[in-house]
Amino acid sequence: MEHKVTDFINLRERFENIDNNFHSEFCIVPENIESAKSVDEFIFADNAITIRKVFQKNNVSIDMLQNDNTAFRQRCSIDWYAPMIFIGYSLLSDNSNLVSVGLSVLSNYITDFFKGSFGRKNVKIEIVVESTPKKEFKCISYEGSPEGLKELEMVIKAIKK
Amino acid sequence: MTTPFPNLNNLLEEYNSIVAEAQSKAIFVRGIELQKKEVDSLEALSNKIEQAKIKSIKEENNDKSNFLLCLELSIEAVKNELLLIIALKEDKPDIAWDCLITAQNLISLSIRNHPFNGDYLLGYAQKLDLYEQTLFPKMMFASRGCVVRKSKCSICKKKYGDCEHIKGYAYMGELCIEITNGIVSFEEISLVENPEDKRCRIISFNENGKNYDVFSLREIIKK
Repeated sequence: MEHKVTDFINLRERFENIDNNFHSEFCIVPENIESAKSVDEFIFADNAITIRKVFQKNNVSIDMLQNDNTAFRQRCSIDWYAPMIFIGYSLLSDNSNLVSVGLSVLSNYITDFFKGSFGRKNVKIEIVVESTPKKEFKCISYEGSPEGLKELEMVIKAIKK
Repeated sequence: MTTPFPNLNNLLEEYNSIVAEAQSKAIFVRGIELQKKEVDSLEALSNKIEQAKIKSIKEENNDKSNFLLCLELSIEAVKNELLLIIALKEDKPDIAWDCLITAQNLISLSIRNHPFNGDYLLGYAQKLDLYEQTLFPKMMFASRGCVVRKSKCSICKKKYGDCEHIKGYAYMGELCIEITNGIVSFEEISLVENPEDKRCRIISFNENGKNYDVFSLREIIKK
C-alpha cells in the first residue's frame, strides 16, 4: 500500500461558501473543489455516481452536492480513479464503523470490477479527513491494489485528533 | 456445470456439449474449415439461449435471466476465440486482435455477472490473457480524457444518476451501460501501456520516412 498525507483546504468553509445549506459528514467531493466558484462548475471523477449507487446498494448513505450542470471527468485508463471522499470529524468520533464498512464496500466493488482481467490493477483515491473540527483537514492520497484500500482505515483513524 | 433451474437441464447439456466441441477446435493446428463450422454451431446455440432468456424475462426471473445472459456472453467469447485463430490463419492480425479483446471483455462480464459463482471461468480468462502475451507484440495504446455532462442508463433510459442500475452489471438479462451524450471538452489523448480499451492502439510507426504496421511489420503503402 502506498499513500501520502498532505494538508488540505478547510473543506467545511469551502462548501459553506458555495452552498451554505450543504452540511455533510460523509460526501463525494468534486475534483476541482479548490477552484470551483459554484456548484455549476463542479467536476467529479467519472465514477462518482456509480460509487454513490454502490454505497446505496450496500445501505451506506453518502452525500453529493450537484445539479444538472455538474460535469464528470472520464479517463480511459486501466487505473481505477475513485472519486474524492470527505469524512467529517463527527462521523469519525461517533460512527467510525462506517469508515471500515465504506472502505470494504469500495474495495469489494473494485475487486469485482477487475475480475477476469489480468495484469496491473491500480486504484487511485483521495480521502479528505477532518482531523480537527472545522479547522484542520488532511488529504490521504492512495495508489495501489483494491485490496489495500481496507488498510486505509487505520491511517484515517490515526489522523483524527 | 449444473444449475438450480431444472427446466434448463437439457439446454445446459447441449451448451456443455457444443462449447466443449468448439473448444476442442480452438487450437491453432485444427482445420480452418472445422473452426468455421464451430462458429456456426455456436451462433445457433446462442440463438437458442436467447430464446430461453426471453422466456425467462417474461417470467421475471432475474437470476435465471442473468444466468442465461452469462451463457450467451461465454458462447460469444469462445466464438471470438475461434475467430481470432481463423483471422490469424488468414493473415488478418488486426481482426484477430479485436476478436481477442472482445473475448476478454465478454468473459470478464460473464464472471462478474454470474448469479452463482463465475470463478470457474477464471481459467478460461487466463487462457485468453496468454494469447495476448504470446501471439502479439508489446504495444502502446491511446487513452482519452474528457469532461462529460450528460449520460443516461441503457436499461431504464433515465438520467444515469437518477436510477439504481450500476454500469457493467446485469439486470433481468440485460447489461447496464452508461450512455454518454454530452461531451463538454476533450482534455487529452495519452499514450499508455494499460488502457481501458485495448482496441484503441497505435497501429503503425514511422521509420526512415516509411510507415510500418505494428503487427506485421510490413510497410504500409498509401493508396
